[in-house]
Amino acid sequence: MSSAKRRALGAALLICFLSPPGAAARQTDQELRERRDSLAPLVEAARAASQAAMAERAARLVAESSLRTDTITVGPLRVIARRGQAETARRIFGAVWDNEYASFIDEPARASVEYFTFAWPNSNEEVPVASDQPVRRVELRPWRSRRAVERSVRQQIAAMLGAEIAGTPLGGWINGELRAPADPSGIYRATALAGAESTRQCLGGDARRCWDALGADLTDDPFPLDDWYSPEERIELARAWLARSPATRRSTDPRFAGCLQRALVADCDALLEERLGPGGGGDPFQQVGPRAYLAWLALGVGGRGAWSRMVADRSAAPGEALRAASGLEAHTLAALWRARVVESRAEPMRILDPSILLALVWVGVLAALATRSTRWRLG
Amino acid sequence: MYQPMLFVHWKQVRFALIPFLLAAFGLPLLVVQGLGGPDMSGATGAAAGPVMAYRVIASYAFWTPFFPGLAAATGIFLALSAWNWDHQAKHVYALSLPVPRWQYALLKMGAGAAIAILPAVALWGGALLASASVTLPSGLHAYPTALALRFLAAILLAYAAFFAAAAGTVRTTLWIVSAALAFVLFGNLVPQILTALGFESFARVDLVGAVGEALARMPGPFEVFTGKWMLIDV
Repeated sequence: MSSAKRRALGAALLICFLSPPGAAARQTDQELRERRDSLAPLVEAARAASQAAMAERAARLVAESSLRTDTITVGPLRVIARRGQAETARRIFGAVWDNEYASFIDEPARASVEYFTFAWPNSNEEVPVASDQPVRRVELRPWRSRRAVERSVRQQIAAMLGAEIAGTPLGGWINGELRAPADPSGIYRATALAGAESTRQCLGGDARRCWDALGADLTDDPFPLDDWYSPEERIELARAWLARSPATRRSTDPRFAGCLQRALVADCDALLEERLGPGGGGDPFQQVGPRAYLAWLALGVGGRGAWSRMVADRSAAPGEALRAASGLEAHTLAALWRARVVESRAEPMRILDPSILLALVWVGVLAALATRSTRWRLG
Repeated sequence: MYQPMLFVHWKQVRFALIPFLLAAFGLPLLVVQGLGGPDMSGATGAAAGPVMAYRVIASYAFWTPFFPGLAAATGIFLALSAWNWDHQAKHVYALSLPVPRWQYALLKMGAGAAIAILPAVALWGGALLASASVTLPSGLHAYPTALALRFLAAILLAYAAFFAAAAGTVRTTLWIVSAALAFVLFGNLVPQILTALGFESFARVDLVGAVGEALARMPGPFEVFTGKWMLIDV
């Protein structure tokens, strides 16, 4: 680590340590914003130092490497492939880009500064790239399947898109990779298991409630517990959370008794909001998938230019960005999301599952092996 | 011929089988504990249960490994007990019977397979009782029969694997088990040695993991153990 980067990180850590514990909780929003803004130059310095270190490392790698490479472009992506693998790289990147991204992304901004590498099969040596930007590496061993290579390409493209929306409300709302879900049935499962009135009504056919549950219109406001959960659910949630807190039984706060013993919704709500704070969680979807899937659908529906429209206003609320990308109203987009999620529901457990039948076949094979044992003939 | 074989095997395992039967019956009941039961304030049943049921089911993963684990243990126990008296009597009794070896092995295997139905029935009973004891929220369903059938298939598979391994001599069985253990413990040394010898492509190869994956995924033999073991699911 360079000395500039060390200094910047040291200063940032010092500020964190000097802050009295619990002080942040007592500060007003205004004070917190000022504090955040005052840290911005420090973060910027750290970022610059980090970039310099990356450039230094990249230059050293290029100088020391004996690997020969070819640079190709696939759509807007620049790929540095090991010599002799350029055609394979073009085919694999091309297939992923054309099938999944080309219809809605023309020119991601990060594509002009980031490089992808490709080596399949690779060696123990990294493909050298002279760049101070993050390098998206697709370098896999020879026994990895083409499907695994494609998966890696998908991951790296998603990481690049994620970098482009990092720091925006949309990026924070998705809080994960933006790509086609590997297992769409998992989204249905997450929705069905969310345990909220809003998600139940969503799966029951009310698309507006899907939009509420996904929380795409939330910004800095406290999260809308009463929008997501019924009063009974909020009481139960509060009781479950309070039951896990050792302070619960010792507390003399009358709201504890009101929530736990008299089941008063107002007391439970107050305790929940105090515990969670603004935007502090408690939303029905604990996983990344459902929200990322909504964003993915919005891009797919929006077609050409959808990505540019989605990221055009970096301060837009997630819902606004989704509406801009898709060109659809919230409830229409939510209805589409709901229809796809319900469609993707995995088959429920079946009496005669293929794996059970397969097990019986193997039982037969093993029985045949057992009858072939030579205990008597040789013994 | 089959009936005496079944009787001898049953006589051998009947008492030792009781813990397996109890575990199979009780496991589904353990899975649903807390659903629809009293909460910390004393409220019971529908007033408190169904909502949190979602979250309890989401944390169901904790219990999932116990089902295939119990199936494997039951199958292994039945397989080893099937050959127990043959090994003790040096196979003299079996040699005195007027049947060829293959038929004898099949009859013996069939007897054990019939006994394997008992723990599966116990699990089925427990699963039915467990499903009936909770009020499931809309969107969730209980699958007691599918779970019991999967349990039976897993017992039979574990039983067949160890039955086949134990069909030879004790020494053969020990060789097979030792070889499997040695592979698990030292299998990953092979790629390291090959890498040291200059075959760089083998660096970072997880041989044990790859073989385990092949055995545990379709069409590998042990896929039934790694599939869905859900009593309650969407």
